[in-house]
Amino acid sequence: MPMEEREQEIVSRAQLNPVSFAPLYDHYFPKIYNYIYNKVHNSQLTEDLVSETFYKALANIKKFQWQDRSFACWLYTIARNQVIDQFRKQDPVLFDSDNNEIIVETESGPEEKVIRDVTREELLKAIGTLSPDQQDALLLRYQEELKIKEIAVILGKNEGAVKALLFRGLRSLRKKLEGGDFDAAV
Amino acid sequence: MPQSNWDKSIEDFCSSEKEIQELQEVASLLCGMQKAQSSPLFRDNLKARLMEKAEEEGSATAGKNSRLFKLKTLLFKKNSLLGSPVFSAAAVVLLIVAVTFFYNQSPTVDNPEIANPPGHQAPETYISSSNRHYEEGQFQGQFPESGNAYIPPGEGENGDQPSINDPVKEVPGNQEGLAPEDPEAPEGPEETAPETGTETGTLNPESAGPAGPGKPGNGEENTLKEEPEFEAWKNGKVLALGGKVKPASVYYSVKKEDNPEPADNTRCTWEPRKYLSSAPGEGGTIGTETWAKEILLNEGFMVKSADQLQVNPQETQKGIYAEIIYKERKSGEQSPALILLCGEKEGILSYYYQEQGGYAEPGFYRLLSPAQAFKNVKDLQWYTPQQRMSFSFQEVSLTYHEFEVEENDGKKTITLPAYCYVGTPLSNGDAFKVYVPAI
Repeated sequence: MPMEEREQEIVSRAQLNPVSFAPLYDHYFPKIYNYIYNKVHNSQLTEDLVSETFYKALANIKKFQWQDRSFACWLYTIARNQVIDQFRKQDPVLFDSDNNEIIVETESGPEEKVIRDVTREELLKAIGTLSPDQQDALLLRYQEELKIKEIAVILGKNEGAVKALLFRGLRSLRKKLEGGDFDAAV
Repeated sequence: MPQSNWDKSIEDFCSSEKEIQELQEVASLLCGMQKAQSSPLFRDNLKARLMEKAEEEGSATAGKNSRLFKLKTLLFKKNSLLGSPVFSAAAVVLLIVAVTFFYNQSPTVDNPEIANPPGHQAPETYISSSNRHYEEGQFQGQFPESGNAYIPPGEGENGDQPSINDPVKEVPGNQEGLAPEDPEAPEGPEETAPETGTETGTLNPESAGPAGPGKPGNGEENTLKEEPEFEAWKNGKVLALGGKVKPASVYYSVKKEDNPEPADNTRCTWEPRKYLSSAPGEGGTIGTETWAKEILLNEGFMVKSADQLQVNPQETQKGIYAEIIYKERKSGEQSPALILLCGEKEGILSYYYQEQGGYAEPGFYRLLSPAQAFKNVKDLQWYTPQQRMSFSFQEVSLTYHEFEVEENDGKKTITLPAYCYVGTPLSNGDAFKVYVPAI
């Protein structure tokens, strides 16, 4: 059975009986955690927002409908809204000082010639200087590996707009990493 | 970067091959960024809590489905008995209306507050010892004549508050009636079973009759207690220290290793975010979860849906009172349960926390309010990049924190209940936390 159909079946079961939510949680927890962490850069805050996301998803799963969006889109939308609400409340962004491990590139590519010694924290800080939509587009595409169509649904934009966001986001990020001005970010 | 992750369509935006290559490099960097991983403890705890909630919802759904099935069966049976199509159609419409009405009136709903019939106490399972809160009330507080403030027990006539700098005090402790936590008690405010509270005359305000909450009919007055009974008032204690807490040092945007100069005239303000009116009687019905959340939010506690929140209302001849038990969910961290005792007229009467025995004898201990404890922030030794900096704090949480206490026989490090305030400099900057004893 194709993955999408199987997921539909699992979601339908969870809609009938919320106890069947467990496989969805197991599958999406690491993705949602990673997405939120990359947005807020703080473990404690991430845990809070991840909890909120899954509690909301569980509470509202009966309302979810397969229309133009997948379950993943729906879940990432909840997560994104949690992050937006958090920033709207002007809650603090507290960087974890003990979580700035160096990125280990497994493949040797041309990027190492130009952008080297970029730590994960520095990269996240540089991403943090982009517009919220650019951040979302880049993270959802290159970290969460969602399709452009799915990102368009989550951001409420058309696919062309998402491509433009990706292009501008990549270009801005390139300049920041080259210039090394990510230290001044955030 | 996997080739599948690169979108050819983005290349349309690029002006040259070189730019395409550069953007591919950045995309590759993003793809290769190590993914954040949560602690397995947090992941498993959250899953367990979600599944508990799911089980509750599942059983509620099953109940609804079962009732609907019975009614549908009844409908079909009735329909078959009626030969006339017109008559049966009318009967179907009537029955659908009846089904809808019955369904909407069903007591088995997700919200246990609504589900509880009048005269039944709000669910209590979060802290097992709280099940005894109203069993044998021996009210020890003093209620002055109406219009005057309530004086909780243990504060004395002058209403002195315990201070972190108080000398050593021997505090009377009454452990009777305090049960150790029931290991079988389900966790969380949602995992509750209605418990009868007729003995104490407790009332769920949302299910109150036409007289409304706090306005019982004439015939009921004699069954109400004269005054509220809270376990924390009955057995509440004051956590006394054997010395003076040494003010902690706060380093903001400076490093301790650089031996910075202490900052003078640092100004700190406590301005909890107000969400709604906190005036008694204006912020929702007392005793409901909404009301409790509002009280907590207005005090600076950022209540989240994953947190544990329990509200135990009780109706007395003097009005409605409620005990709010709030425990923040923190992974891998033991946070104490905050207990607020409130009255519909008086607002917040007193602050307590429940000690489970990890850092002191189990029981209920008096706390300062966040506003009172915040006064001690001025005692902290500040190190900042410049003098006369101003900070504003908006959020607080109750936690445990280690403090140095100067006793006669030297310094000791002890763990105390503490308020963790989160604030930022007024001139913009990174948020940070300061810890102040909550006793």
